[in-house]
Amino acid sequence: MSRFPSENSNTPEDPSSEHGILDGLIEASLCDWLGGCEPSLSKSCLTDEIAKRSKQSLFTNPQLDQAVHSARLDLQQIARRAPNRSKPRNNLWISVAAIAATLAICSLVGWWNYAANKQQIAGDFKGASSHQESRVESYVDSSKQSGELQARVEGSPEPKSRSGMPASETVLAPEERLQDGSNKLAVNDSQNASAATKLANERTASTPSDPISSRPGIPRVELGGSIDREIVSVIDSQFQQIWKQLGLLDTGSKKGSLTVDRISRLILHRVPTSAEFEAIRRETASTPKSTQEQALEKTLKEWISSDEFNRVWAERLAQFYLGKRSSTHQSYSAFRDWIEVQVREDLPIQEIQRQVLLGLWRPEHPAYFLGEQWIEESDSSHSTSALWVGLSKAQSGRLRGLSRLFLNATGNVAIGCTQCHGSQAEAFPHWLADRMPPVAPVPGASAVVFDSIAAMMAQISPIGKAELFTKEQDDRISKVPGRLPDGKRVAAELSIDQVVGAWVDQGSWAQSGLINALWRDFFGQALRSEFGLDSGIAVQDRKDLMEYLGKQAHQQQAGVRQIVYWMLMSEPSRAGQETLSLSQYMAMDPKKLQDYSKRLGGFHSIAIPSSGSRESTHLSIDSFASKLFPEQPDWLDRSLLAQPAGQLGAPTESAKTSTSAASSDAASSFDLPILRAELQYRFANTQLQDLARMLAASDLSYEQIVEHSYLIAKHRFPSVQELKAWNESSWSKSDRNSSVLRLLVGIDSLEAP
Amino acid sequence: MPEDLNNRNESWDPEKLIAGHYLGVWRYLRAIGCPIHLADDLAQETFVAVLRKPFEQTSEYSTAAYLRRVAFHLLLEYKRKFGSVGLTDQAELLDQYWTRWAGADASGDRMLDALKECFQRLSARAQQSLRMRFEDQASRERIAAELQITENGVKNLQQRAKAQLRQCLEEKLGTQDR
Repeated sequence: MSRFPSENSNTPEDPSSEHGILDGLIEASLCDWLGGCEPSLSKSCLTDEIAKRSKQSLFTNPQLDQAVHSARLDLQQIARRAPNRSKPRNNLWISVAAIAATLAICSLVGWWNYAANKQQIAGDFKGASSHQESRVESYVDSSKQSGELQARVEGSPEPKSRSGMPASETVLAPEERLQDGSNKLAVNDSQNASAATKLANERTASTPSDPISSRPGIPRVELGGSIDREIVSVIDSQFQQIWKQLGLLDTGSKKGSLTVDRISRLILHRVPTSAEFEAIRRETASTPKSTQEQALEKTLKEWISSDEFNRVWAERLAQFYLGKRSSTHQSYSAFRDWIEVQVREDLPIQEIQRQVLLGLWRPEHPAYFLGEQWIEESDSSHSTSALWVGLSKAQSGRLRGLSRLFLNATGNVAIGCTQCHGSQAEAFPHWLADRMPPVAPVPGASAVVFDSIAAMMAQISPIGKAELFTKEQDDRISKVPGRLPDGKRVAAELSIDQVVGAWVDQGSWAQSGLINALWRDFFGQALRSEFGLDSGIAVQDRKDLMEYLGKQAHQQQAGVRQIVYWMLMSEPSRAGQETLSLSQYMAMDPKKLQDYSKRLGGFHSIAIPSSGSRESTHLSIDSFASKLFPEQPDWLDRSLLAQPAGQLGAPTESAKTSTSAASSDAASSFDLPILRAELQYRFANTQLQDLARMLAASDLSYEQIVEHSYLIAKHRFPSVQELKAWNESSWSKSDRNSSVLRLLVGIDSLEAP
Repeated sequence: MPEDLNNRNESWDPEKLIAGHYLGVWRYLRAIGCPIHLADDLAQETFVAVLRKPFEQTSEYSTAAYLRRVAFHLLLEYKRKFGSVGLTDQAELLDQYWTRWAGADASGDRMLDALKECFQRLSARAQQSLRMRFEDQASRERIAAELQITENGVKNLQQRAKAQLRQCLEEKLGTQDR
């Protein structure tokens, strides 16, 4: 951890450690007492200086508001945990919870008299935010507040608001919406926010005569409430910030909108049927625009509540747990059906997570078969990893597989590297080494490594061994302790439920893995890639957002439907759609291509397959491998999309002589994984390049490199079929450095058939 | 127990808020490693941020905790924007440490009082060294000349003095709360 710069030579310890804090305090207090470094402002002029600063702040208004918002969310989260904590020093947080409860009550009885206009100082600040307030008031329906508000905040100081709306709604209105009077963003936002509000109202006010809500099987979850809007506004705010950093706000690029077609593609992964189009057309023909919006909301409500939605997203979740591999296992469909039921019933994703993990030890549970899918065969080349003392190869293979499945499901894939590399930081690139003390929020806690996960699995799994031993280099045998996320040992008396519960409940990151997977399935690219297999754009902002969503999913007990709703209502869902065809790609100059890649990486543009069906992106592994590494001597110098004649079924000449638009479109949808790989390859970020170089320079065999690539991209070992496909391709016949990079992006881009 | 700053019936008073909490926020920022100028900036920004979004104050404790958390997030934002400082993302942990050592009240005065007592226990040379450094802004070279030791000797002397202060504070404050 880096240190703060210090004016004097006696640099304090790491400021995040307890001694560091104390040293910092001593330093600051000595300065304060003996002189030399007291605050630069005297008490008498503090207020004036702060009022002046409000006009010359280091931060933008949204950044200031975000800090306030984050602080409140932090305290809210702490307050929620307060009842479980018993140490005296935590009384502070309990008192904070009490304040918030009081505030919620205050809000109910209309205690929102804001007397700031009587205060000169407050007036200075009010000027800065009045714009936002007036803007937001138009989003707000004052009729829906009290119940939602009471449910919303239980732990943080609640801002006063004349509108009665939680101030976070105001907080998160992006600056750009307010300043760009003519821009389309503002208009679209207003329309969309209005749509969201109406949707919420419609749900809240649904009557028995409503044909949709009265249909059996419709979930009771109500979407579009104040919490949903707040979360969506945080997502929007974060992307506004990212786009601003990338210079994308003023590019004038086409903005899309939430059309019927787009909603269908995003949440059902298909284009609307002609019957659906016709029904909407009939309903909206010759009606005012407001009625058209209502028709759209109605359609959205219908789709997001449909069995088809449950089916589509159950499939995606099942694939996540399966490690994105092809499965013909007879239990797969039962597992997918089981998830579908959970999605239909709006089970919170942490509960789905918990039940899947618990199911790994229960033969009667539909998730039990996952253990067989993840089993690691001991005769493959990675068998160099130690066998545990007293376990057969089969037992070791099952335990390793279970451990890796567990890490994948809980979003701790980096820990998997320690299976072979131990916790030696030097075995990894520096950016990965930074992540290697895997989960240790408490200073001094022992690191959680792969063996400790395996020991935990052994302790709670019915493999006949409750303890795990390893043989050290000097033949000494030592016991491996199982560990919980905070590094604490798993006590022998803990049950499976307690251990899994601890992993699911201790922190929100366990949900972050699932959120990331859902995000990727929705937008086509993940918010965060553990090993740098992403655009490398706004990495920290995206990570922050993922963690925020993980926390929110945990706190709000959000199910898949609610999380998909958050994504659907967010700005990136309305990003311009720019699916490239082969001919367009080939004609694009490098600058335009780079811009395109930037927009795509920053979620300012989305690439939805032109047919709308995710099925069209599925290629067989053999076909994909041969496309990525075609049998021709000069493939290294060519685009991944420039296939030899006859191999692609699409033209290979330049775009200027390309064939018809119809055939281009066919190629574009067919080759979306190749296009993704191409873009990742052309614009690989530094981390990914480092990783590829490191692998290429190693003395690993080609087969081991394929295995590593799968571990990095899919977080699992390749199947026999996958290994065979790559071995039979031409990937090992040319420059190793470039081939490894191409292999990595290729594996990452290919969806399971 | 510190008395409540406000009860719910009192109106929002920015001046009182600033006067009562500015020093505590500034010290907190200093304690988690901010240089003086940054602590100045961020303490002011903290109040700019919270005054734009008035909140109900119910106790000194909760208000101080809230302000510290806003300050912390502004520091994170500063880091994101200017990239020159590192910081743990464990705000809660920092807050626990702060509360344990400085007290949960707004000012951190408890710490200062204890420090004054502990300072008296230091050797005369250690006291002189620290006084020269803080009061006179003396360079290490000047302190070395005054105390007739090497510059490394000054560094060691001051480090030992701080270690003694830390130990003394741990005895005085740590045992109260642990």
